[in-house]
Amino acid sequence: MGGTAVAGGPATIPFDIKEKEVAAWTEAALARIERNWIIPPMARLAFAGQVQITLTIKKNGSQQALVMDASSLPESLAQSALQAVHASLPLPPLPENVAGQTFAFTFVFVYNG
Amino acid sequence: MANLLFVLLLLPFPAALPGADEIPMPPIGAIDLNADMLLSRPALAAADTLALLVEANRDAYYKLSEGSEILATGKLLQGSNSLLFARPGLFADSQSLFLLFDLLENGVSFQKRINITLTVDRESEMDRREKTGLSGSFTLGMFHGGRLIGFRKKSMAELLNLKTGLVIPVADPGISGSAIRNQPASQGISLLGLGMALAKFMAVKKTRSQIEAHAIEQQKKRLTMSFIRNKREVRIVIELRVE
Repeated sequence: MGGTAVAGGPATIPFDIKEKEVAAWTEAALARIERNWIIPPMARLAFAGQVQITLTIKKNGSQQALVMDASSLPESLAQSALQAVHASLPLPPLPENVAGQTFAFTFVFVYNG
Repeated sequence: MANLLFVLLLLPFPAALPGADEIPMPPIGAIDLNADMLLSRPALAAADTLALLVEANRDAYYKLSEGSEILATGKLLQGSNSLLFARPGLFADSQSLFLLFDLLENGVSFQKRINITLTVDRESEMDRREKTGLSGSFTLGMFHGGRLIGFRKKSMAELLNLKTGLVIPVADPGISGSAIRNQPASQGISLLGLGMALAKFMAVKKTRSQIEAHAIEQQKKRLTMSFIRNKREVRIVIELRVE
């Protein structure tokens, strides 16, 4: 699990969340995705499982690729996770001090009904 | 002594009463809850009214009372009689009622004691469903280079209060760069599973009529129903015991 750098210049310096600006960016990105995660009514039926999505973005926050890697949930729940990421794009631009041009992030949405 | 015996012999021998060796049939038979009426007219319960079904063997006058309070009076006709009575606060709270059912037939009185136990549950079925569905939680983890860099945890209740609704699938994944690499786990139904489900269904169907008949009989003594009061669903259980 986890993101990998893609063509176009991997981030040679991994995200350092101890860096104030990086931590702020991460929080902002997560908050945006969380806000856009619309839970379908069927989630009330106590489903348990997870969806793994990999998002690759450019340094300016725009999308390069969005892929659902795996899901153990019904389609509508998996789609709600994918939609949460998609609706959050573009993400805020990455901090200037982070090296690299493209960045891959993996999001794991876990439903524990 | 002889004189006394003589006097006794002269006394007229009491004639046998007709049917004196038989136990007279009480004027009424079963007293049940009128489940059909209560279920089809929930407004009755909302108006604190209860419906009983009394089987009368013969015509008789009746009086239904609680302590010194008379709840209903009238005449029962031979056969099935629906008896309605209103009592303020009947379905306001859980309680037990002890009622007396007095009957008068040709100057002879009979009495039955009726115990009604009421359980009132103001938490509606809808509320329960809401709670059942809100027990879960979700987590969102964000990884980069195999490392966890961000994490959120929320309860399902918080999420559903925030927003629920239809999910619009991401349009045209090819253009947007989105793609589903691996399809979600199979949501189809296997033939074996279908066969087992069918067998289970048939077994259930076979005994369903027996269960329904039993349930109807049970409803006469114990009835679960709901009604709307002050725009809220009130669920009640009525239990009847007659002595």
